[in-house]
Amino acid sequence: MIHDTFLATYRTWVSPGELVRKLVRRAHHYRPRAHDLRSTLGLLTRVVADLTMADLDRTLMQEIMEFIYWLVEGEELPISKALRQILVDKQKQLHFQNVNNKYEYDMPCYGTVSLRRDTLLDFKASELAEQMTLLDSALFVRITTAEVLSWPRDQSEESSPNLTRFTEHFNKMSYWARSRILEQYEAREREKYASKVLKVMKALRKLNNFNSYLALVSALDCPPVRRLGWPRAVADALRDHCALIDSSHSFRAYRNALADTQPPCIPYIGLFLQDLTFVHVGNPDLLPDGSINFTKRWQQYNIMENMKRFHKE
Amino acid sequence: MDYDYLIKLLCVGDSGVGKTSFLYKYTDGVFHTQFISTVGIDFREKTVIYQQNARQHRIHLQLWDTAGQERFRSLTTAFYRDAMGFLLLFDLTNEASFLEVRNWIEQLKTHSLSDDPDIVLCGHKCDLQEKRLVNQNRAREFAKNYNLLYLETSAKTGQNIDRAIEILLDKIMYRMETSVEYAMLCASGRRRQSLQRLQAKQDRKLCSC
Repeated sequence: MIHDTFLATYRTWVSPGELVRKLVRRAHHYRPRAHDLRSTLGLLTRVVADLTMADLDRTLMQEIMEFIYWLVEGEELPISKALRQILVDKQKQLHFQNVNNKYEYDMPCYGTVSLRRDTLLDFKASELAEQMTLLDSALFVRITTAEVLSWPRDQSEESSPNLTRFTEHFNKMSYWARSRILEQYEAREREKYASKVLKVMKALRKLNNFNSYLALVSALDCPPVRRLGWPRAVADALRDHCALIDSSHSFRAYRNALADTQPPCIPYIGLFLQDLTFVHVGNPDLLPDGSINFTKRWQQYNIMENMKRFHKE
Repeated sequence: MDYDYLIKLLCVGDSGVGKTSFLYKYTDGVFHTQFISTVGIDFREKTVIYQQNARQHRIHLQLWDTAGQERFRSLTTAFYRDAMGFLLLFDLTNEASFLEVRNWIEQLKTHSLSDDPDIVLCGHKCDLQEKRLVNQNRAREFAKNYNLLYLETSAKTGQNIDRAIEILLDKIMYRMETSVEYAMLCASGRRRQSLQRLQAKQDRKLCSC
C-alpha cells in the first residue's frame, strides 16, 4: 500500500529520471546484501513499468540499458530479463504511437458533420449515448495519473495532453448540444431537440457516463437555452437533472451518486481535479523539518485511486 | 443550522491566482482529511453575524471557487448563476492574470443572473512586493472605469481578506434591501395609479349623469 502511494505520487518531489538513477545507485550499493538488493530491484521494475513515453528520453533509456547489462554480469538473470521486456514493450508502444499518431488522435469532426439528411432526431437516443460513451472512454483511458497529479501545480497543456483533450471534448459536446437546439427557428423544433437531448441524457445516466451526461446537463442549463420558455415537461425534467450538480455541501448529490455506481463508469473528472487542487494548496510539500509530507501524498493517492477504479473497465 | 439568509459567493479568476488559498484563509481553513471522504462537510461554509440598521442578521455564507475545474468552462459557467456576488481575483505578480480581468467581467455579466453583478476586485499576493508587476494606481484606475471596488489582498499575511468579503456582503445586503423597498414602492405606485383611474371613471360617471 505504501509502495502504491509512493509510486503514484513520487513525481511531486522527484523526477522519474532522478528516481531511477537513485535506485540504480542503491542497487550498486546493496550488491552484497541479497535481500535489500531484491527489494530495490522490485521497486525499480515497477518504477520503470510506470514510466510514461514523455519520461523515457534517450539518456534515461541508455542508463536503464546499461543497468540491465550490469545485472546480466551479476547473473541476476530473471530480473534483467523482465526489465528488458518492459523496455522493449515501451519502445514498441512508442513506435506504434509515432506511426499511428495522426490516425489515433483524430478527433470526431464537430460541426462539419452535415446534418442535412440525417438529423439528430433520426437516431435513437440509446445509440447516440453509446457512441458518445465510446468517444469518451477512448479519451478517458488515455489519461495518466502523472498528468492528473501535476495538474493542480502546473495546469500545463503540454505536460497533460490527454487530460486537455478530454476536457476539450467535454466542452465541445456541451456546445454542440446547445447549438443544435438554438439553431432551430421554431419553438416547436427546439422543443423536439431539447426532448431528444433529455432522452440521450437518460441513456447516458444508465450507461454511468457522468462525463457526457453533465456536458448535456450544462448545455440545457446554460442561460441562452434556459431563458427560452419551455413547456412544463422539459422544465421539470431539467430541474431534476440539475439537482445532481448542485454545488452545495461540496457536490453532495453528485458524490453520493458516484459512490453508488459500480464500474464501468466514466466520472466527471473536474471534481477530482478540484479535490486535488484543495489538497495541494492546503498542505505543504515538506514538513517543518524538511522531510517529505507523506500525508499529503497519501491524500492525493486516495483521490486518484478513486478515479482509477473506473479506469480499469 | 439556523440562519436568516443564505448567501452564495463565488471566487473567480485565472488559475494560479490563489483563489483557494484566499478562501482557506477566510475560513481559517485548517485542512482536515475528512473533507473529501465525508460528503456534505465543506470547509468553505461559514456563518457570520451581519449588522444592518440596528438589526442583526445571521448569514450563512457559502464560498465557492472553481479551482481545478477552470477548463470545464461549459459547466462552471452554470455556477455563476447561483452566486449572489463575486470575488474577482488576479495575481499582482502576474500581468496576464490582470489583463484577463476584463474577460472575466464579461463572463460574469453574461452568465450571472444580473446584468450588473456585485463584484469586488482583489489584487492578490500583495505580500510579494518585490515581485509585483501590476502597480496599484493602474489597478485602481481600471477598477474605477468598471465601477468596481478594488482591494489588495494577501492570504499569507491575511491583509484585507475579511474586508473584501465584508464589502461584498455590504453590497449584496444593500441590493437586497433596496430591491425589497423598490418592490414595495412599485406596489404602492400601482395602487395609487389604479386609484386615480377609478377616480377618473367615477368622475366620468358623474359627468354623464
